[in-house]
Amino acid sequence: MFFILYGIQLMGEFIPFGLFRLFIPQLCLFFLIIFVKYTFYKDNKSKVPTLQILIFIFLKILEIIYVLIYDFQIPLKKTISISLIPLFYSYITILALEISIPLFWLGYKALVMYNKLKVHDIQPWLKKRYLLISISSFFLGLSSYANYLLPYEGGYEEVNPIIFMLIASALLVFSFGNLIAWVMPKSLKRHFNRKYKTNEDLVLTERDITDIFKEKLSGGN
Amino acid sequence: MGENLAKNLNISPPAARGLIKLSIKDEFGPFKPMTQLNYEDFRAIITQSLKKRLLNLEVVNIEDVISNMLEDLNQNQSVITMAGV
Repeated sequence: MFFILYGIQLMGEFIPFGLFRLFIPQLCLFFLIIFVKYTFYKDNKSKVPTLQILIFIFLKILEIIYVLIYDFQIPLKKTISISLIPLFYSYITILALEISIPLFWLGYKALVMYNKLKVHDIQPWLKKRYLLISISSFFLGLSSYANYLLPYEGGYEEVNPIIFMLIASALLVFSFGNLIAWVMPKSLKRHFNRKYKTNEDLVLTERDITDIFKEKLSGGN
Repeated sequence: MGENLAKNLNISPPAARGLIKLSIKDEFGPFKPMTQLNYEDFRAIITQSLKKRLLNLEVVNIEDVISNMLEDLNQNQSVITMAGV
């Protein structure tokens, strides 16, 4: 869902959608929050997912207000007056927070799990999946702050190509990182698992397990 | 889960894993692949078939073991999604 919406959002850069333009950008991030909630917080009393949703909705409303009143977008289509520059940078701050908070959250949760699973007997490719998701999320989250480097003069031609490349490459790193993480080629899985020895060699029957417990009970445990 | 159960029952990890596999079989039959099980399925396995097996094996402090297993499942629930794709 995240990637489908991100694709639609990118299409929005080229097609004048009207109202659609107000709601589609960053809507994919809402689904990212839902993904983290249902992957890490099922049956959990933590208030973090609710807080994340509320922060996101609050920032989204602020963003829509800025767009409706000042017609801001990134990069700007036309040069804005000097009096609007502080508001333009506060708009960039809203966008950066809107993008980075859910991505840092996913990156943090994936990194915590990666560190936790290091000591567990789990196939290494799965641990690497957490690491790839974490790195790519942090990368895209951080890149949202590169918008501060965008000029307040209008038009794509005003954007420094290096800054444009930096922002675009962050999206590519995130996309490829997630592509490799979620659709990991078998050869890469084998590479990650090359030193891993499975414990599945010992197959115990129901009788064996019952005997283990009988032995344990007769031993006074 | 296997490591946790092994620690709780003071048995070997292969025996604990075997017990969990048998509990899965009790709950869903022999044909459901492990990768198709979700969080709710694992919860049902722990609270129903595994609990029943532990009762039959006369394990003491079953409630503690079950609540420990559920806590472990909750803490590591993301592995089910991550490994299932």
